[in-house]
Amino acid sequence: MKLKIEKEKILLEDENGISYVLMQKPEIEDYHNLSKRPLVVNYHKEEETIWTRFGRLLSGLWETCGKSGYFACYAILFAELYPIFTDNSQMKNIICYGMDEADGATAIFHNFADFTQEGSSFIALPATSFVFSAVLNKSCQAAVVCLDAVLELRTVCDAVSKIKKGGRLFLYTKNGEIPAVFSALPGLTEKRALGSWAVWSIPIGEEIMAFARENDADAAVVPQVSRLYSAFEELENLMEAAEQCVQIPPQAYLRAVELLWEMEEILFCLYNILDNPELPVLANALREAAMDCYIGSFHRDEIRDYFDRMRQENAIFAEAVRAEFG
Amino acid sequence: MKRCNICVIPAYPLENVQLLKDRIVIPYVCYKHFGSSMTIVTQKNGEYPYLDYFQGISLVFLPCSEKSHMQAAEQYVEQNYADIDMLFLFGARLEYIEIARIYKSLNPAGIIYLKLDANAGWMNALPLEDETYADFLYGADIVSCESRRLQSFLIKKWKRRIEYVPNGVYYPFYPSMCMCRYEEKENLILTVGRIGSAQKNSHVLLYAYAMAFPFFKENWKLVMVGSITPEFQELYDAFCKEFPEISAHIRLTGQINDRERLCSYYRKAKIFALTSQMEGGCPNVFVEAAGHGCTVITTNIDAAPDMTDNGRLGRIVDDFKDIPTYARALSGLCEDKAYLERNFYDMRTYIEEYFNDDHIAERLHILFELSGSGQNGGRVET
Repeated sequence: MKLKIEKEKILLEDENGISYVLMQKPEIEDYHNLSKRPLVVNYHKEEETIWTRFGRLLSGLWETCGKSGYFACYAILFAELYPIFTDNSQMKNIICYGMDEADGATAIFHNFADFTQEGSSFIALPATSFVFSAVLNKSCQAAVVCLDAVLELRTVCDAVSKIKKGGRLFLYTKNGEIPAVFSALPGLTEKRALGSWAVWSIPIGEEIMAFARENDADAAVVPQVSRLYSAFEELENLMEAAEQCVQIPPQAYLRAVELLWEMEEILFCLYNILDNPELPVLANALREAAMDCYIGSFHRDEIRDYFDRMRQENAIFAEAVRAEFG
Repeated sequence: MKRCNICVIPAYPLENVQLLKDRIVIPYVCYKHFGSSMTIVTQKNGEYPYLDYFQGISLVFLPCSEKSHMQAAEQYVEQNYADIDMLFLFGARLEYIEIARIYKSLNPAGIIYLKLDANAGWMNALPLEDETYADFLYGADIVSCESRRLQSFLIKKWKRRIEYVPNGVYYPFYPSMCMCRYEEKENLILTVGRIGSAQKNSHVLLYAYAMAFPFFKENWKLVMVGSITPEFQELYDAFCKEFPEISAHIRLTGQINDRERLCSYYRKAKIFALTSQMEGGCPNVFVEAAGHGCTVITTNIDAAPDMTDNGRLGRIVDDFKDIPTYARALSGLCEDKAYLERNFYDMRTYIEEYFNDDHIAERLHILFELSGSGQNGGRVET
């Protein structure tokens, strides 16, 4: 197996000279590179871009574990992890189970994680299924599991419970096919294979989450959520009063602004574990609409446009808060 | 609510033309609403005749010898921090790192307002991993950008509050806006900007107009206002030779410095056309045109949804290179007389409600009060 890094793509080539496109260089997308680091170009400083670092680490992967029985799996996994680490600005925790640390791949993946977003991690868990109880539910953007090191379906389900909705579970093997014991897992349709090296990528949705049946709860988050909910309840009451009587005192709008200001702060504190990273944006939009109503009530005879907009923004925000915190 | 002393420090010596842009007008309107003083601190860079537009502000000239503009400004802040309640900085510039640090260390209760003057490409490439730079961005109490699309992006990327503060219109500077009537308008398509610059993408408008021309049921003129690049002049000359019947309806005015004369074009135009590849938020010319009731057709720059209220008050062409689609949208607009007339009123109401600098300053007043209440800008403690 050979690795070829070209300007716009990366290829794997087998012994027969047959090429396999591992990855195409991503386009610069202004609204999708949410990592702290520049994806391809840097405006201010000459520093390593994400693509450059990725290529360098992939070469390192080849040097470190090119002779390992799993190199092709690691290369495919690395390519699959790339968009996850660069997708948005949330800090990422990606756990892996069953990967042999002696191969050196985990250190390379971790290096990339920390490079794309300081604080992000690629964590190799010890290969004992109990270890999952030390990891918060729904705290990871992805989990990587070596099927050759796992005997029970329960272990894979434990891994699933640690992944956020919308995240990914990656399963890999050097034995070509999925072992029968795991064949009941929902979502085993996305498979990339090279020879007998195979990687499955499973999106974490309702079906597989229900299948995994894990409990949740983050004790540390509870007080913040409780503060948020109490502010939210007061806000709901204000909005209801405004709905019933448009001529509410201007101070009520200002109180809504203050509550939303506080809620934004809480949401930023919880940001890295939110299912919906849009929540602070929605809170901000509602706060702005409430500010408009407040200002309008002093300077205008009629604030219908501002009020309608506030009502719309409130409906969107309230729905998102309920979906997030139930 | 308290009143404050506002200090504006540009990253580079201020030019006269910049006085009437948002970098000065926004703090000025804030000063009118909740300021007790406003000081612009800069090295002298020519004369400032536009200062006549402003009342009650002070201009402090920094010494030009030995020290650079920013070094001299830092020294000014060291000596005057106690008299500054709000430090207004314009642009997420590396040049501001030190002055922000000095101000906050000497006056922790003071408010830094950073107006980003942002576009996506620039914001996407800022070196947030540089700690001193990140400290500057996160240390600012109020940070705003000029389009909602970018605001949403930055809130998620920076994980802090970012306010939406568009480039608005300060009505006292535009007396003609209030007097503008739809009956004065002509079948005129107007664009204003640096004609031919790569950013403005002006050739798209020229050729889209030519493509739309055969479909016009009435005579529509195209007027392009602004300095012209030699490359565009060459292209235009060739265009005139190739399409003499069409070019007879096109006028390139060159740069217009007389604001009254410029406003007379806004008053006459029914349609304002933008073909830019990108812009730092809402272009100033947009609010000038929209305030005069022009219907806007624009490429999908960051601020396009804000400028058109998500397409309600104008047309957005997704691909800035797509001349045929632009031409179709343009001819469709020219044909829809009822929409253009209705939009004259709707657009002016929309601008008055959401792009009025007086209204924006009131918002900033609330933010100033909230920021001064001891809560930070929303930085995630990690």
